[in-house]
Amino acid sequence: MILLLQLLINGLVQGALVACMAVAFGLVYRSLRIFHIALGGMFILVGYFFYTFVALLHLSTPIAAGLTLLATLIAGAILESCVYYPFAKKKSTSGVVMLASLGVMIIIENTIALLFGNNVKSISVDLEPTYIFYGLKVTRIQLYEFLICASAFVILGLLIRKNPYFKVAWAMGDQPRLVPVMGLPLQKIRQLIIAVSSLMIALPAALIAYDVGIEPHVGMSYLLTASVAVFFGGIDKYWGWGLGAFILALCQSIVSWKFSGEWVSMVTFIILIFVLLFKPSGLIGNSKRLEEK
Amino acid sequence: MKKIIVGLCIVVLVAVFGGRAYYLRKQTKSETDRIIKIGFLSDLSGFSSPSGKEALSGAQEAVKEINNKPEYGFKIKLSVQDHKFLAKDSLSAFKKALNDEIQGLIIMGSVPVLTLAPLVEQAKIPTIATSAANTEIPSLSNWMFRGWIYVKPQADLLADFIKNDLGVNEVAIFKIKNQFGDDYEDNFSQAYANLEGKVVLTESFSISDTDVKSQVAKIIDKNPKAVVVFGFEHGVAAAIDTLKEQGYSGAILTTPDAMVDYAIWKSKGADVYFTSTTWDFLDPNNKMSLHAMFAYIGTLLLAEAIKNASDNGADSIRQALLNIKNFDTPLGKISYDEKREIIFPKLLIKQMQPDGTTKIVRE
Repeated sequence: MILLLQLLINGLVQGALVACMAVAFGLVYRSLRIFHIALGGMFILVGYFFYTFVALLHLSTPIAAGLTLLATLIAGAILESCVYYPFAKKKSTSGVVMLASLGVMIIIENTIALLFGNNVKSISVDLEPTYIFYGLKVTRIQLYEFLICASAFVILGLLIRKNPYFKVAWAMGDQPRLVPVMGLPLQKIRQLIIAVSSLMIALPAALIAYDVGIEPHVGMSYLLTASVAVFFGGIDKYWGWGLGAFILALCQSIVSWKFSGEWVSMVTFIILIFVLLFKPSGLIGNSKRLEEK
Repeated sequence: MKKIIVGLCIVVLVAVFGGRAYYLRKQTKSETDRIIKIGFLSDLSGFSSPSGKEALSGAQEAVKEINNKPEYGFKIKLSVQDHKFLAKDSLSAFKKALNDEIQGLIIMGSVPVLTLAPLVEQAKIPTIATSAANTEIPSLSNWMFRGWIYVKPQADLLADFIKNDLGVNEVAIFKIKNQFGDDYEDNFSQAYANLEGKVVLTESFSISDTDVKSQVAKIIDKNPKAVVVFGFEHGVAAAIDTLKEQGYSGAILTTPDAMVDYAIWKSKGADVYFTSTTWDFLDPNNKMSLHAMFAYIGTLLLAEAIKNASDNGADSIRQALLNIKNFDTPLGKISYDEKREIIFPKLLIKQMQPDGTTKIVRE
């Protein structure tokens, strides 16, 4: 029983991380209609920014974390102004933009491998302190992961509901053509979405890199998990993304318990196929009316 | 004027004849400096490229030494190819090396060696498998020689140490999910069962896994008194870190294949037991890593065989390799047995100390 609870706690922490990544992917996918594959590259960039600031430049962890967030925002702005926005101006199809996004991810991955090598880079070289609650063990970094990511997810959810700028950014996903018609600054809203997405990937990526290290080829697997959580929860439901992330992570924990840790990535694919086949609108997504389809 | 013309003619004649004499002398010298090409297939850009590059540096060090010793009567040139630790790239690397007309071959890593063994058999190239522990390797080709500490003696030593020195009757195995991990698991389980020990759980992690919390939670739940971790470098480091972070207090044991990431081991690896040769590759005064040292020895062994061979033929070189007995190396005197397995003077078990040094706990 303790083992199952331990795995569920690990699943909760993982769920919070995936929820943030799901938001980073879902916001861009829903509002800008871009299948944001470059997010995998952003994940890697964050890890290596953090590694550079902490392990190579020997800055203190809080300063390094702040600089990492700043560097990620700049990288996101460059991505938007040099890749996504020019394609949007040319009214390119979503397939073309997706290919460009994939290209960006490959460029980032290869450049990082060239600069830093293919092996795993460790940021923290000390053992993490562990807290024990009724026999259940949680490391300090796991606590940070859960608290920071869950808070970021909830705060952004509230902002989307209450703040006018975020409301517009969310509404853009429903009626993208209405934004310029209503005289709203399209480019600024696009930048806001990319900036929020960059921040939401920076948090889990930096924490994961600090916890288990970073290597240049991990981006795609995290991107896949994030996208599955979005489709699983429902593309139009912000809270659904979080629910999808937690259920996905808990399923992975249960599989780990019943079978073995080596099968958890398979669960991600099974859930994706299952959702796409039987519930394309997601767990709590509304089914579209016939005339909407 | 005449004097100038005569002077010029003399200068031209001296230049022509002097140049020719120099050219002829150089040609004669180069004929005696026979060049022997040896293929060196290593991971230079794949996931294990740090080890692959270390191995290459060891081989290059050996080549430098050989080429500076006139008693060999030849110079070695390495044909270096990148196999990326992948089967498909191993094939193309092997073909490129063959096109270079190599007379011997060194392959780094079990996966490329297992892939290429049938081709080595076909091409009849005396080959040394370095950084390759898989049990089957020498039996797959008559031309394949071991150049690394192999699985069985290490598995036997670990099982004996756990049972008799630590007095532990129940262990868990935490292994990498590939042939390397399977091979260690099979050999260790067999050796431990023979000593009436019990493996209570086997968990695995994939080559790219760095987060192994779920597997570790299952291991701790079984409460084994020792955990044996089989894998490479960072995967093993992640496994051991997580075991310690999750409060595991039993003995943790592994093999030297894992002991490359010195920074991690020095700070987090304290108390971990591992099999080792007499070479202390964690000593900062020893410039060569374990991978470099074995590639260095492999290159020296091939050069020694080429020197001792009755002719340049592959059969003679192979026979000369088989005849190597008590060859002096930094690891002590080593020999080949009839199965082309390398025989070491001794294997040890060491324990990592908090300050990054190691202590021999079993000779």
